[in-house]
Amino acid sequence: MIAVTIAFVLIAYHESRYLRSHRRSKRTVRLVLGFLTFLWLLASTVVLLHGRFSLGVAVTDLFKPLQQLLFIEE
Amino acid sequence: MKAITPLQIYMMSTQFLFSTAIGFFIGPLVLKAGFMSWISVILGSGIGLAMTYLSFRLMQRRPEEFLAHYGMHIVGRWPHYIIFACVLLIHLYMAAFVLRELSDFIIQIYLPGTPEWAVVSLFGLCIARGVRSGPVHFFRSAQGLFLFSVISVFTFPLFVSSEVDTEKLIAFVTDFHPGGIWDGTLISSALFSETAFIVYLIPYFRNKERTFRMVAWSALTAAFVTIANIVATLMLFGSELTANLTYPTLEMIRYIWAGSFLENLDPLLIVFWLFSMLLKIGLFLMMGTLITAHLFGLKDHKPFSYGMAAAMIVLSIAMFESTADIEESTTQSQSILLLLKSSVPLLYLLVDSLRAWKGRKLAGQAD
Repeated sequence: MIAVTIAFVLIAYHESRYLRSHRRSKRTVRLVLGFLTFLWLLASTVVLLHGRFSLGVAVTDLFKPLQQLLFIEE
Repeated sequence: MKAITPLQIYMMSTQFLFSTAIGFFIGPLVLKAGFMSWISVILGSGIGLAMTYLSFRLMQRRPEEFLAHYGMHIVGRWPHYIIFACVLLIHLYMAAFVLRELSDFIIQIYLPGTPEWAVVSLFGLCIARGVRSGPVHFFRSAQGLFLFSVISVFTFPLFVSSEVDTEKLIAFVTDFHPGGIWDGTLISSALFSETAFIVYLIPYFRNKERTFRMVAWSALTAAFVTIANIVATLMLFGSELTANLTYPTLEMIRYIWAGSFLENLDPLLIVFWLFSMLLKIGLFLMMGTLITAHLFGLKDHKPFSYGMAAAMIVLSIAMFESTADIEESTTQSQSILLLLKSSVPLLYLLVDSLRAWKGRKLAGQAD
């Protein structure tokens, strides 16, 4: 969790420097940092819930019925 | 901007298709279709190509624009945002999923005892650099090792030719069970419909009218490579064992060299396949990153690349508990996920055609 946060902070710092050096608008900086925050939230949720909830299994369970509808054999 | 040549599209698309097909999908395919998996691959590549052709028709209408930009004029602003947010998440999920499959494979076979985060992070770092450099460089790099990649995957079946049990040959026409073949067809059409990725990259392509022809050739090559590998694996192990092995192709390679002086060559062959896997994961992530940039109305995808790669690495490590879960996911939900992702351009084509038809009808009434 701490490693994930540190990684995202470093990336945010790197990207904001990149954006500033290329003179991008404030809106662009806000969008990029906002999206990074979203990715950080997603990643840290998955890490925090590791062991109790698995994203992969949840996605599998979500799409399984649909696939069973198309498939003939079990 | 228009710097990707038709040849590069062919080379990229071929490696993109066969990398996971021979690596991870032979097991699930044979589990369903048995010895007659080759029919499933042929039918599946046909269906996949048909889906790609329809996406190509959509692109031909606005060849200089990105679907993520003009899509909102077709289905409306909010539906477009919601659909593309899902597409973005599916791309991120798929990149993480394939990376996890690959890292599990490398750790189990070649790097036992190495922590997963180390393998995934190093591989993810390479992918992040590739994605940041942009589609043009990425496609160019696909050209670099294409020949080695294709030659190495063709070599897999050639070496078993002396070991095979020719009495199994008859099963390739007699092991007929339509239900299983249909299921296998769905699995392989999901894989082959992935070539619909061209819809997200069309403004980068040179000679756009040749794009579909190139993709069709790549599907043909990939289908040929996949069938060659399936046939060799089946002749060697039979359908029951192939279906229950986690990595049938790798088992085949290891079987060939047991005791021969070429024994240590298998990593050499695997290395080229690994490169194709890097292209596959990278292209998934690239499309996710490009879609993000286009949804926000930005031209430069670079600022999103490292963030997406970091999310991919974390998801790939933490989203599954065990290899059993991954296998279940591969057989139970991957195909439908890929089919849904590839049918998004078809939805846009349908709505666009309906709108054009309605527009013509209204114009006719006005006259």
